[in-house]
Amino acid sequence: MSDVKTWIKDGFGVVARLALAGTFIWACIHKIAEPYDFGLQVATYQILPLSLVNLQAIVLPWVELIVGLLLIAGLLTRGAALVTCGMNVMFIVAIALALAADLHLQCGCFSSAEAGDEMDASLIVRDAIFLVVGAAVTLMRPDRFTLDRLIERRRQNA
Amino acid sequence: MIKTAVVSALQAAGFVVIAAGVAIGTNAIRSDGIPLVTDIEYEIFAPCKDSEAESEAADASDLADGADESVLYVDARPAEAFEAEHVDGSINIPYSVLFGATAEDIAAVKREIAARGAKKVVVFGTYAEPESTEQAVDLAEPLAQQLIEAEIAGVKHLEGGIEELKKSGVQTVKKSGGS
Repeated sequence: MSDVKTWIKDGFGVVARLALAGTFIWACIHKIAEPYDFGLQVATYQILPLSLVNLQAIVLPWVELIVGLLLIAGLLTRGAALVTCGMNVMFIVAIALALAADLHLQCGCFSSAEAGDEMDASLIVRDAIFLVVGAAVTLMRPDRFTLDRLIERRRQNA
Repeated sequence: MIKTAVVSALQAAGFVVIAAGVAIGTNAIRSDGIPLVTDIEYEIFAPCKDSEAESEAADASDLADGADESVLYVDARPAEAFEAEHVDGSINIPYSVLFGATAEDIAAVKREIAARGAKKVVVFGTYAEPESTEQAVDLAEPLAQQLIEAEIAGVKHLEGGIEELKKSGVQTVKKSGGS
């Protein structure tokens, strides 16, 4: 593959990886800081049984954080990107079910900045875009700026 | 390729397990942590759009023959009136002006919709006491409204009662067996 193509591919890889990481880390901050509020938002979707609401509210933000940090570092990139795909599928299903049930609620994805903004179908489009980006990062070879590639080079030189 | 996919999937599963461990551990030591399993209901404020909707009047395009299972006719008149004459294939939910329809009645409508795969529900029924000089009371609209509030979709009310349906050519069954 020519150098230009490789640089374009790596450039896309970096942007996609950092965009995903930034989004997930930004999304997890208020959820980790305010677990009760996030639990309430999970409950509002009326999808999970009450017994699983808190577990979801506790674990999900930490998955977002760990995956976000791994994507920034470019460590185990494909596995981390695969998790973002799974989470985006879950978000899309949850939003679609809430819209189908005509529930008037905020998505609870980010901070209270979005308070008052009622959820609509555009959120499904947004998450679908993240899903495609996550799938691309999963399927592509990690870009040259990742720790994965650094470790690979070291192994080859050893 | 397959090896990469398997490794990625295992990594992903590992991240979730590690994150769950960190999350549960952190939650356990923080002062504002929440219980892993709550036994107190969250107070959810998410009103349904349907509960705010009002029943619309049915028109000719909403009507079909009683044999057409895509339309469920709900007769809101008292049982005696239903027995005397009713639309073929309809169900009777006697609507009380004072108390409305019962929860069992609403559940019966839901069951019937599910059993038939009905897409529309047309509620009809006006009623006046026999030999009464007072104007007939419309039972259809309040029952339709109650069904909408019970989150049943596709509900409309028909003005004019069973007579209006007969004018539209919908078959009825009389107690004596005639139509």
